[in-house]
Amino acid sequence: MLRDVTIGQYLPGNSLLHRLDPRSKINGVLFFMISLFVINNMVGYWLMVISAVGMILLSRIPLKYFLKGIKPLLLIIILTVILQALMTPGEIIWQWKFLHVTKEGLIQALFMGTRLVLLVSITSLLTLTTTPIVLTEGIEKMLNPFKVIGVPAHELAMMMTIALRFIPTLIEETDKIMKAQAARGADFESGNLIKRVNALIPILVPLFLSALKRAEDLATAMEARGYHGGEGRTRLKELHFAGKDYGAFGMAVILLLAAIATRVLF
Amino acid sequence: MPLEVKNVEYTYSPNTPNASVALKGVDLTIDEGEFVGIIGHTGSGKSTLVQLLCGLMEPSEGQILIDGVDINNKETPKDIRKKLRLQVGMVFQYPEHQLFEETVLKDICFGPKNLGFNEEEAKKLAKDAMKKVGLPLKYAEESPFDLSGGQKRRVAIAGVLAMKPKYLILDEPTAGLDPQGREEILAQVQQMQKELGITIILVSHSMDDVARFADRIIVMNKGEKYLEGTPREIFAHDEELISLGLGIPQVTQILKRLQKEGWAVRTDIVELDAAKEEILKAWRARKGGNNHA
Repeated sequence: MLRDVTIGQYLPGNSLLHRLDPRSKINGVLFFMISLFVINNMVGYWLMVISAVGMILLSRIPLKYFLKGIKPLLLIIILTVILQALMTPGEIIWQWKFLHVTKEGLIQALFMGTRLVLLVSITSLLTLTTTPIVLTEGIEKMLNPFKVIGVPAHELAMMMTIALRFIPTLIEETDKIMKAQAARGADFESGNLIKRVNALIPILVPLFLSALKRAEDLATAMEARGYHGGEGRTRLKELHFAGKDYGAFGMAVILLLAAIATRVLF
Repeated sequence: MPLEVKNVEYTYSPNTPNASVALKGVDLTIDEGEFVGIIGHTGSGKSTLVQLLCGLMEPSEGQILIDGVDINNKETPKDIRKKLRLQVGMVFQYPEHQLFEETVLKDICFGPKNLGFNEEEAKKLAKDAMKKVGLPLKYAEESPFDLSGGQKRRVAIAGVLAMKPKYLILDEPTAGLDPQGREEILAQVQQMQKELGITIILVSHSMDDVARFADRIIVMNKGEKYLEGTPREIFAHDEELISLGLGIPQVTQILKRLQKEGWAVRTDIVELDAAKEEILKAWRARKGGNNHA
């Protein structure tokens, strides 16, 4: 029932993107996003679309996974596109009562739509090619320099790791409880809103109970194994910045420069 | 009318790289009033099979028939399918994790109420169910979360039993209980079959439990039905079972060992009492033989 949730889903593979250091990938996504907001004309958009498609092809992940990622945001994207089309002043090409669509509006709408779709696709690409554990490790490493100003990098990363680690467990647990209650004749799909909210109680009470119990057990287990925070903690698998990572970093810088160039030149 | 499984296959997350085949080409029939044991190693597909049996999941291929009606056939009206499905009660592993109400009685009433019984009828069914699982009625108004592990499990089993199922599936009902708790739960399950005529399907990996109570055993391995037969027939395949990581009941093991040491004992015995008789018989025969010599 709930197995098909895609948020933060990782798809095993062995493409170049899968093998990159998480820091390069996070950095790449960051640069891509900045570039996406730097560009302001057709040439720039083509640049971004082509590089995004290139990366998606490189990851060898089927397109349908990206479409699945866009689906939940479809409403927001459509709304943005419509508002852009209606609200931008300029040369009017269609009018009905007080509503009017302008040429500039249409172009803006197209740009905005593309921007959002690319934004979602590229973040999906990051989570699809990187396991959550490696991803948080990358984030921790990247936050490390900010420890001097009091950012609890290790604790943040540990919290994220634990949260991510327990998403599938909780989904499984929910699935199990839903099945158990369904076997007792519970109906989650019909009835009015109040009835449906009430139908959630038999799921939520056992779920919260087990989540709290799990959290307590985990804390005890961590302490029993001598966990005392990040100080002096070593890792089983150290991250290594390899040649391909410098390459990826170079590509990201080139992309940003190219984006700036399209803005200046065209 | 029987519960039939016809050429059923099931794949988790089909058409993705994570796809895994849990069941392939399983055929079986469970008759009314039987006590069937399903055994298998972790990942053998036994839990998937029983979830298909009670209609919580739909098979990727094949059919599940209850009283001759395909419970997943969309042409049959939805409420008829639901009614059929609810004839199969399912007690999940660690069923106490599904308790949610403020009092024991209210929790047990949940099922009957979903079936459309009114408050009065539901309470009556719930109290009957409490008696059947051996829960004293004094617990009725207590919070289920204040009870001990074994008692919580009884509440959960009563919650399913109160729906008056014709077939009752129990997935590892004794997991995590102490030996006394195990005995009590299993004895009560057997009583339900003998006295109330409920068909019992017991899923377990404890050979001893299954051997003692089941009329018929189904051994699952890697998503397929590997063996099927009476406990004696099944445990005659001791070497195959051991290679599957399942083993044979302890009494059968002792008898096999004795036979190897040169004792004249039968090795197709799975019950403790029968084994005791067999060993005593062989021992007396030995002593008698020695006296003559």
